Amino acid sequence: MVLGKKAVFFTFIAVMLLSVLILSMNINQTYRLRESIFVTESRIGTMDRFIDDIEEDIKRGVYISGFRALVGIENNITLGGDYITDVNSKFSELFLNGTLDGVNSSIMLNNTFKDWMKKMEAEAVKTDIVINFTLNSISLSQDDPWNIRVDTNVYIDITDKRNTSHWSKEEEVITHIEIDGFEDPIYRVQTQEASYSNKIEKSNYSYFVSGNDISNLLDHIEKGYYVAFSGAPSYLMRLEGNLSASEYGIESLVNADESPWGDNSGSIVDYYYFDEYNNPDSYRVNSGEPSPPEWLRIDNETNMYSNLTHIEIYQIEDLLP
Amino acid sequence: MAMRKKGFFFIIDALLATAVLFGGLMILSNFYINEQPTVLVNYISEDILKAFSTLRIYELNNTYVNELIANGTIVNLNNSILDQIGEFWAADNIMLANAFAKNISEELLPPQYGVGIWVSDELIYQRDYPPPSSRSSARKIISGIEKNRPTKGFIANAYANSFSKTSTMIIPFYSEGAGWKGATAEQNVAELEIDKFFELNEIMNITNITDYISVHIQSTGPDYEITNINDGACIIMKDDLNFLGGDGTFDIKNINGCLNYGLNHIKVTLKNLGDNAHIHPGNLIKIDYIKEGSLENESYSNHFSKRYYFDNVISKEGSNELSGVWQIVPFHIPPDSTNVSVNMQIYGKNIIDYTGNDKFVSWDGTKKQSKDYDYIMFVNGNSPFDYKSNPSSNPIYKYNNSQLASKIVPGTNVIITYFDNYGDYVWGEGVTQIYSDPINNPENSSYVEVNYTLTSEEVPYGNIKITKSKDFGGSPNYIKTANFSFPEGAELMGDVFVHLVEQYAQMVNVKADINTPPQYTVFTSPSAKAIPTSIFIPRNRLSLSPAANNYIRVEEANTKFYFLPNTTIEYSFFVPGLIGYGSVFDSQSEADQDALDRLEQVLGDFVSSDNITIGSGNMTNVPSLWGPAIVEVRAWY
Repeated sequence: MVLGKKAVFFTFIAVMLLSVLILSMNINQTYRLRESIFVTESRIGTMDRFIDDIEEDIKRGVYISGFRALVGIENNITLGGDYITDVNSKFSELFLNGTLDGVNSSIMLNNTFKDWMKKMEAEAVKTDIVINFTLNSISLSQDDPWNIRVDTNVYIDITDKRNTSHWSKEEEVITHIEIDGFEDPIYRVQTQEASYSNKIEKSNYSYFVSGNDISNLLDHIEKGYYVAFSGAPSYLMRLEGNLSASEYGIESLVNADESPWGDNSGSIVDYYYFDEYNNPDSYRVNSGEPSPPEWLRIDNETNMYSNLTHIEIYQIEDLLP
Repeated sequence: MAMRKKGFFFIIDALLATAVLFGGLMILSNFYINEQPTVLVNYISEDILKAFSTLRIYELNNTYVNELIANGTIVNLNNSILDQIGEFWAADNIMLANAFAKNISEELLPPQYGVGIWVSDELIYQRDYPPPSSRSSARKIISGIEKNRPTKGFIANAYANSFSKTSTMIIPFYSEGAGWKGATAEQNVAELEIDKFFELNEIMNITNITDYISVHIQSTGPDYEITNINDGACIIMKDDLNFLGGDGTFDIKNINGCLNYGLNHIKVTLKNLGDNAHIHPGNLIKIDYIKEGSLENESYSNHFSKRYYFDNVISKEGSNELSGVWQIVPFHIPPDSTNVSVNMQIYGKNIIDYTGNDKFVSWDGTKKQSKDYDYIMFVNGNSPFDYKSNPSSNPIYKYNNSQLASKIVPGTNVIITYFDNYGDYVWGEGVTQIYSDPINNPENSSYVEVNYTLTSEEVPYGNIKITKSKDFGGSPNYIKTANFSFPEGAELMGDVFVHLVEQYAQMVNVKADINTPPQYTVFTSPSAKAIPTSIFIPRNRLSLSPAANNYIRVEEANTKFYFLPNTTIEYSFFVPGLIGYGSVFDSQSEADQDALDRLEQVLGDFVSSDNITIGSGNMTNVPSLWGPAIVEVRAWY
């Protein structure tokens, strides 16, 4: 009986030891599984962060390549003295390939969107990630007078070399590029004077005329500043030589003293001044301080919504004959 | 005892259970409790990175940042914190990046957490306390920045605002003359008078003027004024000429200072005893000049419109009481031009309506009645385009485009007009004249008016036109070949002419292309003596490549009539007066200087760099696809 009780005791000890052994093995196994899951989680986290990174940096890539492509278009107009046809396709060619009509553009050297994609692919390789981009579409438009909107649709395919995960997604990227500082092509092209140009700069005047004081208006003209007017051609339209109305239009007043065309006896609103075939009735500003030049004539055309005229914009109602 | 043993058993059992439970709890606590700080730090580094990449400068309320904004160190308030750190780093302003990162992170992160920021493995900022222990990191890619490269750069273009260019202008005299056979008495010799009018632009700075005199006159006899420039300003006498033997002669005279800016009048007087006096191909005035120009006045149109006025030619009878006049007026139509229109007016004076029965040997070798051909006019052909048998004494003949169009050819066209003479036969008398006074009476003068439109590619917007000339050289021969190349930097071809210089002339054939000898015929005299001084060479037969030789070959039908070495090629080309944007630079001054250097390099050979002022247009804030830089945030607890 003593022996029997001892046996029970030893059996119990054995069961307990066995239980501890099984438990520890189980714990070890769980630990290994957790470690494996942790590695996988870590890889997936790395890829996730990389994708987040790419999604954010793609905007920079689009902005940089897009800005330079617009410079390339401006340069082409400057050198050729002619407008560009189909600005969207020309922009797209520059943006992606760095060429315009098949000719390399120096401004795009190492700055195309393809270059950006290659750099991202190289960065991905450093963390054992394979990434592929496909530019599905790119288009230019304007949703305000002072910025070019670049819409890009990029397909991104990303794979972990260690086969833990794979993503593929389409990314819609919208980037805005300010037109401030770009050249208005109509000055050079319409006059065919290679040395005659005007940069787009938003007017910083909130009012042009104060009583009899027209110094702000004269300075606005002198500096070649621009105002938004939904009836003037937008910047994109100007690149194509389209001088019709846009809700995102901008306009300047031409300083006839500086223009090779001089005083053409018509409105100095740029898209009328430079259009030989469309110059509406204009009104000479014949009073004011300082004394207005003889060529200071402005038409009274309205905007697209017929709720604002040029005379109202430039506040010259009381200065007309 | 049994009870005590049972108690022992249960005590052991309880102890074992406690040990197992305790061990289990220990293991579990190792797994779950110790891991927690690592996970937290991981989140912190990512959160810091996310906050730094999304928070904009204008969203910060930080005294130090406000100072940087106020003193202009920070310009773009739309930058994220990371963008700004990246910009400072790219500008190699690590101290500023360090101070900026320190200020921002101290506000955002509790003191028990350590944090460090690296850009492309370069430490920007690191907290000294707490010392690094459990560490985690997060990384971010930023395109557009690179150490020591401008994140926003400068580009510039340039144009030749004003410049001086060396060029050559050639004013050819037409082949023209009188029709008498000469007079026997030297005291009453017949005369030919030619008046040529032309204007020189005041912006030309003339450096050299040469008069190429190629005439057919009597070498002997009394001396007289051959050339009177601007009413006696300069006079060249017959005996000043170096005669080559025979009546045909060629000489070159320097006439510097003889011409005026504005209107010029050259009167040429020729006399001959045994033959008719006339001007041979090669009589021209060559003007070398420097032109002060600018892109603004280098304006070109793709529409060409020009009146080629005839020279005023007067034949005065001598003792033989015979006179007649003729003139060959060339003009050219570029082969690729459109909307070609040619109108013509010919005004004769003192024309005799001959009624006798003399005959002359005509264009087809037959003898024809002189009275039927007082006026004969050819347009690019060997048979008359028009002739009159009963002209008035002062006839004006007008031809519109619809009448002439079928006869006009691409390239060189030739109008040949005769009054009261043909070849060596003459039947006029008194003072016979082809009238032209383009200055005082342009509408009643004799002229050919030519209009055409060039293709847009040939309108060299933003270019500067340069004209050069090159003599054939060598020795006189009835066949001569010369070549020329357009210089490196020439972007477009302008007009190319060959100005023939012959001591005597009968019929010529001119070939031009890039082969030696050239095979393509660009001009053949349509009839005997129909030899214009200037022959147009179509561009499509030539190459603009500086490596290519363009060959021009002139052939005289009469092997005894030689082209002289002074036969000249006049060629023009366009060099860009405007260069576009170049590389992106750190500063505007560097970009401007680069633009000027590039323009000067282009213009260097053609435009004096001492006399060039350059305007430039520029653009700032041009981004570049530098990098990408990797920003790493490390955090520890």
